[in-house]
Amino acid sequence: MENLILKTALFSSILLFPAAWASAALPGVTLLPHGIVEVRAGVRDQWRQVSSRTEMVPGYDIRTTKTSTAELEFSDGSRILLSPGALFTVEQTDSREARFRLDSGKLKAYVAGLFSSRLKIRTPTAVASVRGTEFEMSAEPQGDTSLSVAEGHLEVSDSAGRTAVITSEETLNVGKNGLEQPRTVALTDDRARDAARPIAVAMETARDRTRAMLEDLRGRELKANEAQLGKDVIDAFGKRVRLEEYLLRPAANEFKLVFLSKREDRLDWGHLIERFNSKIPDDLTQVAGIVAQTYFSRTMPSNWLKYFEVYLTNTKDSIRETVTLGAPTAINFTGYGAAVGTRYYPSSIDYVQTLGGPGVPGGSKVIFQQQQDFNSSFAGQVTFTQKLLDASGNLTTYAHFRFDPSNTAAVADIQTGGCGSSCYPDDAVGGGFDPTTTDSFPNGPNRADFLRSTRYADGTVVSVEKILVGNDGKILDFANPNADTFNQAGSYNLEIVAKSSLFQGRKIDVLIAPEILAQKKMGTTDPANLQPR
Amino acid sequence: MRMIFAAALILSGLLPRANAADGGTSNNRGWGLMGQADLFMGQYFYKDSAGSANGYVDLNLQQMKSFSSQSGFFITERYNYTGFKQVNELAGGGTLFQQSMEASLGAKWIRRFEGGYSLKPRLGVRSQFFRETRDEDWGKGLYDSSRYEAGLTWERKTRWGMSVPWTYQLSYDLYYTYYPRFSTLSSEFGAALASSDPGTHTLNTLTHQLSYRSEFDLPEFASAWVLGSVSMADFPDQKVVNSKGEYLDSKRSDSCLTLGTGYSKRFLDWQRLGRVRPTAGLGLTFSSLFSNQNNFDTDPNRLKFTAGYYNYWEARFSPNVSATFMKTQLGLSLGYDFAYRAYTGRLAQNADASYTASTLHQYTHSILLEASYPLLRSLDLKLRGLWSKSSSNNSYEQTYTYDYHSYNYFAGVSWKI
Repeated sequence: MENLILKTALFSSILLFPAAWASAALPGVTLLPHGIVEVRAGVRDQWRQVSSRTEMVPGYDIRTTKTSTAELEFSDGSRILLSPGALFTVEQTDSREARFRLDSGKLKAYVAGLFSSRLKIRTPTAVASVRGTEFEMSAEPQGDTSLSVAEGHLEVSDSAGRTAVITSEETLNVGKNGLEQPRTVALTDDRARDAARPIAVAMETARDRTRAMLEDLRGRELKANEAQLGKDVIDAFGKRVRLEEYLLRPAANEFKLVFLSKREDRLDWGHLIERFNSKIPDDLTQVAGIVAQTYFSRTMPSNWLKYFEVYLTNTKDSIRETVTLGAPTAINFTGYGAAVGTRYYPSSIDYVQTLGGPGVPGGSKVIFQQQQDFNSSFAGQVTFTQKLLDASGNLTTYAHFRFDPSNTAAVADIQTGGCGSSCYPDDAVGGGFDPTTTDSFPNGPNRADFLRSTRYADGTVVSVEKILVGNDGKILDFANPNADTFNQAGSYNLEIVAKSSLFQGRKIDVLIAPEILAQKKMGTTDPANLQPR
Repeated sequence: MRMIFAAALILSGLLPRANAADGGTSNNRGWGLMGQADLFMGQYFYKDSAGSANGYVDLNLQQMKSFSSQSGFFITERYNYTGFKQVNELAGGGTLFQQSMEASLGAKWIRRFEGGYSLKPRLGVRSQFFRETRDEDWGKGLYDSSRYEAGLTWERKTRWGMSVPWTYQLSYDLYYTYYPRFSTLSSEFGAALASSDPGTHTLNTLTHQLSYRSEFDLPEFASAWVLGSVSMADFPDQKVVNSKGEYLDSKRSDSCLTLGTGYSKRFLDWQRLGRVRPTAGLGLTFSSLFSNQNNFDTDPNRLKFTAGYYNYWEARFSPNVSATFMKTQLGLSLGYDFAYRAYTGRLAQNADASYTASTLHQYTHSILLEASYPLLRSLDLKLRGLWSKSSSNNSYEQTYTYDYHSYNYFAGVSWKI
């Protein structure tokens, strides 16, 4: 629609403003005599004096006396002023070529360059092709031709076919021997132009801009690189977020990644800590391999991940999630439904979620804990313990069971949500302090905006909204998102908005790379994770 | 800065007008004024998503005064407002919303000597303002910047043989660019978070630019130019990062090289459609950047160190044609630009962000179409459209878009002052 309006406006403008200079391009030359000026229609015609504006056509000769001058006006606004004692001929005035001849005398010309495709003035010894130019020209009947360009360009050829372009403030003589070396007029010469005149200033400004443009491009490249490094994005709520990440090496076996999300009115930040069993190499690109060999390695790894921490805060409230891993131990996974045989896997995994802040009782409180071990709590089996807040706000065992790899039915029962004989007596699932979990999609089911809210029995509420958002603030549009989708690498940032009834109305709102969460998920105990990748 | 610019605009209204196109039939030792004002409406499209229609205003003024044929000076003022995003401003990874304003003021002294020599010192200042998100107000943009400039040009006007006028310039330019609102978050909060110190005003630069330019006026309505430029951009507050992710005491320094040449020619009028005057041109540019800065990808899955992350070379090929319909003075021009950029250290990434073994390269094609039609003697109706397509061997686009197409159009009037 807008395009249609634009086209209509353009068309209307053309109709309303008929080309004002349409006639300017039509070839036509008018003579304005000043004093006694004579013309003739060719050499066989008689000279006759003209005293008013007279249209000139090809073949006309014009001559001025020692005291008179004449002016030729072109339909494009160009002018030629004939000095006293000039003999001038109009040879051709069509649109292909306008050609004139100066047999003797002097002329001064201001040529717009639109009158004809090519405009030439001949003298007995030279031909001048004119671009948009202001120049003077004089010719002697059998002698030299002198040219002086005030502004613009003039292309001059001699009878030998040699050509020279002369430009502003240059002069040229064409004698019987042809072109001579063009010369620049002295600055003290009357023909020298102003130092700061329009054309010179226009050219100088253009040159300055060309050089400045190189600096502009460099600055633009600088900004683009900021974007390429993902330091400047838009969040799901249309706010600019500046992101920065820094790597620290607190110890030889540890690195810490600090990430900051800064909006105009708030700072949210967090860190990721990875601690390993022994020294990690200076080349941290090898760390991903060490992390990978922590889980499901065929042989005992030489180094492994011991501790993992994700911490998010709005500078007042915080969520800290830690994962502590025991040394890898050999586990035969065949009994757990994976036909891979024996692999090395952390002997224990302890996941803890802690809330902190001025509204949290005691300033800090563990609200959720999940532990898993092999062969420690029960020989030859994986034991799984989950603790959360009960009605009194105390951390209490909620789920407690073990995996017996020799009992196929029990394993299958657990993997489908049951417990049966594998449960310990203190397992309290369905026992009165079950948390209530609510899932929703605040931006509709087809948008990657997933909100999970958990209400514990004591009334504590923790909600985490995960949004996959592009750098331009657009939320990923897809059908039926699920928790795994948020952990996939892709072209989106993960915005995490964490709220709690203990945060006194504040929220934590960070943008991070999804991979950070992917690593946490990998280390988090979950029956579904007991599958080789 | 804005006060200075406003005063300059008011002053400019009091001055007599000059026009480069009119040639200036005689020397004028008073003040002269010329310039151009563009007023457009336009819209930007990025990957088929449309930004809202908005305006574009560009006002250029030059005020000049000569004391003689030997000396004079001129003042340049420019104001620009762009209400829609431009193809060349993709910071932010392709956001559609962007408004920018720019105001600049410069002065240049011209001192000419016999023999075609000139010496031209200059001073200038420029302020840029951006609104890149809806929560940014004018004057509070993260990337707002001020640039202070000084330069000196030595010029010689002479001839290349007997036939060809030849003007060459050797210029030194100094640019200090300052981003008053951009400082690293680490410098603001790092002490509390125990994070690293990469420097504070890491975008600020001090650039020394040395340029050489030659211009040739060739026979048969042709002209050619050659440009060579070397820039040394120092980042006085940006520390170099090493392979361990640590920031060193040494500061970033970039070297930029640009070599370019161009040729244009006006052909004889085509005697159809009321006579058409065609011109054609070709530009070739090679540029490269070498930086001592590296990059450390802190993504925990990769932790990739890339030496010379910013280094690249680029070749650009830019032909253009234009035609003026002499009867109506309707002007049409068509320009094409192809650029190939190869990063010499930066590796291309797969869609899952893993690094490939290939260095990143990018192709960009742009087509510019422009039409102008005179409404009044100094007033032209103009229509412009720009289409651009970029492609690369990089599939990871979480942080930046290398593969996209975009286009914009704008229409309005241009007034030659």
